Amino acid sequence: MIQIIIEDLRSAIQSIRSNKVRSFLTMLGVIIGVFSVVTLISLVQGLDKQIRDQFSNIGSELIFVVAGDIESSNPFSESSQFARLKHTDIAILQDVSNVKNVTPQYPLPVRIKNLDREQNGMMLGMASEFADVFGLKMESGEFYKLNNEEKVVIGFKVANNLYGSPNRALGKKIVAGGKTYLIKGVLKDNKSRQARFEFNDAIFVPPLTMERNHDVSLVEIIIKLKNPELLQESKRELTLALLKDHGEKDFSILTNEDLGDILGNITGFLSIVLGGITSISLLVGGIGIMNIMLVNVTERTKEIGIRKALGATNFSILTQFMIEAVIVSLIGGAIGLLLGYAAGYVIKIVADFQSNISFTTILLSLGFSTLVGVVFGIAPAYNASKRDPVEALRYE
Amino acid sequence: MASELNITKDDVIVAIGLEKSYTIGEEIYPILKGVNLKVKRGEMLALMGPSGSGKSTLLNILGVLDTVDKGEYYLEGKLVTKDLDLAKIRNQKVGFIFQTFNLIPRISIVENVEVPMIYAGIPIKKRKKRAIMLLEKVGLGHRLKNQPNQLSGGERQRVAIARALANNPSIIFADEPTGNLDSKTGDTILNLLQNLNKNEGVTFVVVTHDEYISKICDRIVRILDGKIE
Repeated sequence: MIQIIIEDLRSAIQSIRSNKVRSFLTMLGVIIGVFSVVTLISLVQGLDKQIRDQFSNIGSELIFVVAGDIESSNPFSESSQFARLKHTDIAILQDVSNVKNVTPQYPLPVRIKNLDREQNGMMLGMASEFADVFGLKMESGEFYKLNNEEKVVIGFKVANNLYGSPNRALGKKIVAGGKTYLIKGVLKDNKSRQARFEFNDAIFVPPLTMERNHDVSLVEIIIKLKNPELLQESKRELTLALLKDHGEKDFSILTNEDLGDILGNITGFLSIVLGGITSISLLVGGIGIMNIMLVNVTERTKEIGIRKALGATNFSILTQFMIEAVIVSLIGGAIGLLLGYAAGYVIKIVADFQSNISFTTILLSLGFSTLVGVVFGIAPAYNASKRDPVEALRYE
Repeated sequence: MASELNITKDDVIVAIGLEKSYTIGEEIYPILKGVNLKVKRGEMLALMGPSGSGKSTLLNILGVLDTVDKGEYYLEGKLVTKDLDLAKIRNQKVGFIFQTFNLIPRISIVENVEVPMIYAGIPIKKRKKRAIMLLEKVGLGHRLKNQPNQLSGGERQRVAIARALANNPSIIFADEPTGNLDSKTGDTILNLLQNLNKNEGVTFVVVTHDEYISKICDRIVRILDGKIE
């Protein structure tokens, strides 16, 4: 039995080699299918990993309060989209035990300018407590104190890009989102990528100033705990405190783990959708294999007759053609996988994005291409095995 | 029944009242109408008959490629029926030599001779050795690396003979073995078959049109209109 399979492998490889061009064209469908599945899934998984890495950097002592109940059945419902947090919420949250600091966060992507130089950056409306919440230090100058002054703190890179150095930036004017502010302080170079935003490229504005000057509303509050070990208890207490005031659950309280999971759900969904779409090309590849195998069986009718006359059973003819189909699609799958690796490498060099080809992806793509070979090889192989030896021998 | 028939160890083939018909559309065409035949071990038998006489059908049945509608066919004393593992019987008991050689293209001649031994489950080293030995015996020791399409017709038929001998069958059926060869090459092939028969006791049934071939055989059986004359 095992010996017959080894012989089938040998004869499959022989047949593939003796028809190189045709075998390659047959494989092409599977190659393209596996290549696109592997590339897309590894890109999404790379994205997922990047996101999770960022969230694991935030620190577990942080809790995020956001407007709208995103855990409800429809997080995109109208009521969720227009939900807002209230300014009074900040004081309520501050009063909960185990809360150390609270800051609202208004994120707004803007163009930041100084005379002839400019760059893209994130404008973050935050109370001066943000420094403590995120553990940020000053390179030069100081934090603003009031929630409504027209003074700002800028990230290290912004200072270097637009002014040449942090010291030169101090006291200068800066235009962000169309409004002019005075620079009160510059943050130290922040190497760890914290939170969702690159603080080195950010400009920090007092919250009330932010609301007054820019079209933003309060949708997020960040809380730092005194004791991170009481994370779950604090989450519960904070929820109760806000619920009592709001009267309904029009907000969500999330730990950074929760945030990672939500985004993980999105990338997981992306994986399935993209994987599903590209699987169609694998299906097409499979049909290509079936087509060629059917031609192959017809062409080799005489050989089937000879083999049967020499003692081949139906089963050994079936396995011979099955194994040939599986080998063709497996080789195609392996080539597709290698091309996927190459694509990941090129993407890394060109776009500086580390895609992630997991072991599961490798197993899945090879397993799937084997399956394609089996599914689409079985009909032609069965066809071959059922040939009547007398008629097959007479076939020219 | 077998005891009544008194089949001895020397009877390779005993056929009694073989009948076979084909149905095409509504019409039934009887091809064999009660064939009786006995072939003894070590015999070289010529089976002759015009085309349409049922010669090929009889050969297919005797070669276990097909089964009868009626009648009994004993190969080596064993009744052949549809329910048996016919592939195994073909593999172990029967060898074929065809008019058109019927070698598998694209594999070497050694591998061609190995095919019956593969299905017999003989390990690779052993069967390779035997294939080479058989090819040397039929005079192709210098051609081992070649593929069938690199050989002449006579050489191809020698490969087919070596292949037929692979599993030491009880009987070899040669269907017009020289039909596609010129007379000189045909003679050498016939000599080879004759030597195998005389020196090694291989039993042959040779199907032929050629009166000359039939003369070198031990016995001639003529089939006409589905019956042995």
